[in-house]
Amino acid sequence: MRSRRALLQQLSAFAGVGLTSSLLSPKALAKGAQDPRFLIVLCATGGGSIIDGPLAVKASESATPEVLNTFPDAMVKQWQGSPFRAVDLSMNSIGAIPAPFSTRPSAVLERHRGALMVATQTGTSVNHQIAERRSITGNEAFRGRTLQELVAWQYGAEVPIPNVHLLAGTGFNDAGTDATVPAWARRQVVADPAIWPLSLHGTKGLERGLPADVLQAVRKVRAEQFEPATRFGQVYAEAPRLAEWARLRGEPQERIEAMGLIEKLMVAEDSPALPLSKFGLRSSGSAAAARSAFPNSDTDPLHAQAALAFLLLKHGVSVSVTLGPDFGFAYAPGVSDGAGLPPDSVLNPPLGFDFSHQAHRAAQAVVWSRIYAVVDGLIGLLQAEPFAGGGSMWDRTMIYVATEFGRTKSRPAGAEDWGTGHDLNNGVAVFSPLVPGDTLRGGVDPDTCLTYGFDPDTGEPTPDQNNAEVDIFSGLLGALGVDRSDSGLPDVPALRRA
Amino acid sequence: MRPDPQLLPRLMGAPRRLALLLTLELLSACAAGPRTTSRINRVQPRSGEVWARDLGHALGLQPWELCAELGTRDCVEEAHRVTLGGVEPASLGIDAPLPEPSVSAPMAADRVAISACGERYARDKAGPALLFGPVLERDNRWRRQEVGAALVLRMLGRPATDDELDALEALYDTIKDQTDDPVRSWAVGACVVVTTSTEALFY
Repeated sequence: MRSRRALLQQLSAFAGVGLTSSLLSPKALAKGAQDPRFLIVLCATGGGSIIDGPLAVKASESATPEVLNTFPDAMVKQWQGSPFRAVDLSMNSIGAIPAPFSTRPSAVLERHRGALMVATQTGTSVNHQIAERRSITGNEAFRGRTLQELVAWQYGAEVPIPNVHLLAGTGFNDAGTDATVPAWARRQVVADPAIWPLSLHGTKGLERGLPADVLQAVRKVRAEQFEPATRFGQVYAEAPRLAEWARLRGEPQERIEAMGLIEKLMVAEDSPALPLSKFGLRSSGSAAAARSAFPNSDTDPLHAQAALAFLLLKHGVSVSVTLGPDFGFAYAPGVSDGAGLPPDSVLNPPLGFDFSHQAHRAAQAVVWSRIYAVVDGLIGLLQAEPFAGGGSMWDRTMIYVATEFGRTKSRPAGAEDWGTGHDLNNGVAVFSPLVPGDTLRGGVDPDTCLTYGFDPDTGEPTPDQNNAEVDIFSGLLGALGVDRSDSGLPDVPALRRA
Repeated sequence: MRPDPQLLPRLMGAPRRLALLLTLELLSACAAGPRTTSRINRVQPRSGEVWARDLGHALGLQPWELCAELGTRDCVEEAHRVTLGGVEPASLGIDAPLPEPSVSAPMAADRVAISACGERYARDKAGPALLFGPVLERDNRWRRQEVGAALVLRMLGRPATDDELDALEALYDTIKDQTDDPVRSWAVGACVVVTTSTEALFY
């Protein structure tokens, strides 16, 4: 079995020159594989407004608080010396949905604000799909490559599925447009985290399976004798699609099966709905810890994604995982007092953050709370997971809360909840030991609730200018140590830990 | 200007040289045989649904009888739907097949085929047999050839070639000492070879 790095070494030798200073350099790939960084893209699908998250504005700070998205002073929790805020909120409904809820983001920021950096930005699109895509490509700043592809390329040469997308159908999940990105660094979409591990072995767990050595013989005869004997196989012997199919049937398949990922990535527990033991399977040894951090993984797609994301990183399967709430309604039945739905039963409002069109304050509070809960769970799990080279996995991980775009800042005078539209102006949140912690890059003008930018070199606020997607994209790549030589990207040292 | 005295002979020799070149080209082409590889290579994957329909037809099974993960999730319609090139617009927003095959797609295809072929074998053993009857009655090279030919005809819709039948026989030679039940292992294995061949999965 030849590794991807070995293949690239041959390619490099064949090319002779030109590959030694790029991501393709075998030396760089080897170094990246031994000293990886991990990227978690946590998608705030639908428009996570940063001033409803860690940059909440107090009414007393604004000249016109009644008509702007500000909070009563008493609701805004702050910490000495920290730029961040949290609003613990309880309401009786989420717009027209009669579902009472209570959120406590302050508890998460209490624990993790030391690893939080917020960087403001003003994007270039308020179209969901386009803004999402630009959040991961820096507005196509680096030959159309995505953040996830670049991290997978640099650090994932030795892992079986470097770039996994546990969320589907959004611009955050777009593939890049650079054909030179290796196929193995491109996205792999997982539709259902609970069931997907069953596709990671050819026969294990089947009621009427084949012995492993028989399956191996079947595959060998199929590839080496039967298919080459068919007219189809001869005519299309050079077809790229079939070459890719043959590649997947080779080393990736062997590695995935040999690693036992069908069980190592199985979050679900043995149950009547998923009778694992009846079919000779069992849950991952780390599933209990993952389910403890994400207790709704049976009913909440986001918790299921987060639990699998942890297992993918822990077991060295991936170096980049993408997850987030989608536009679907998620509901956990509970006990109601008869006046409406049970308290906290709506896990995800329809449209996620975009339910802000109907009920801005409630939707933002509920979905930010989901984002924070995932951050909290992942940090806890990764902190407890030692990394082979020393320290914990968390020490080399970045959680990028990609916010898509902001929301309009105004509200009807004194309204407690209202509808908002899309706004270019916003910011992103990054939890990581790789960025300056408890740090705000940029700021918010309380008289407009608009964010303003920062100096890419010093990080000093620049009230007269804003930063674009490319600054965030490049800054995060820098913090992750991704090679940006010959990229033409601006250097943004303000977003990486000194 | 005086005409070149060599011009006329040269012009007269040109058709002869052209004829010679054409003859050599034709001889060369005949010696190499007909071109066997496509220059266009326009190969498309069958979606899981289409492939499973062919599989069910070949094995005499209804779509829901092919494969169920953990006995509860239909492999093609649910468990591996997107992996096998299907769409899921309503719940996942995947409204077009993934442009590139999933890393787990070959394993998912193997699982569906093993499950379906295993089901066919079990039913044939219980009788009456539809496909594997010849080897269930008496297992020998000729009976295996009969089953192999039926597999190719039913799944790929054409007669099997000798080379293909030899390949399936080679499978028997490899596994006969590896398993307690060489008849089943060969029957299910040969079925998987044919039904998951690139000819079955692509068009």
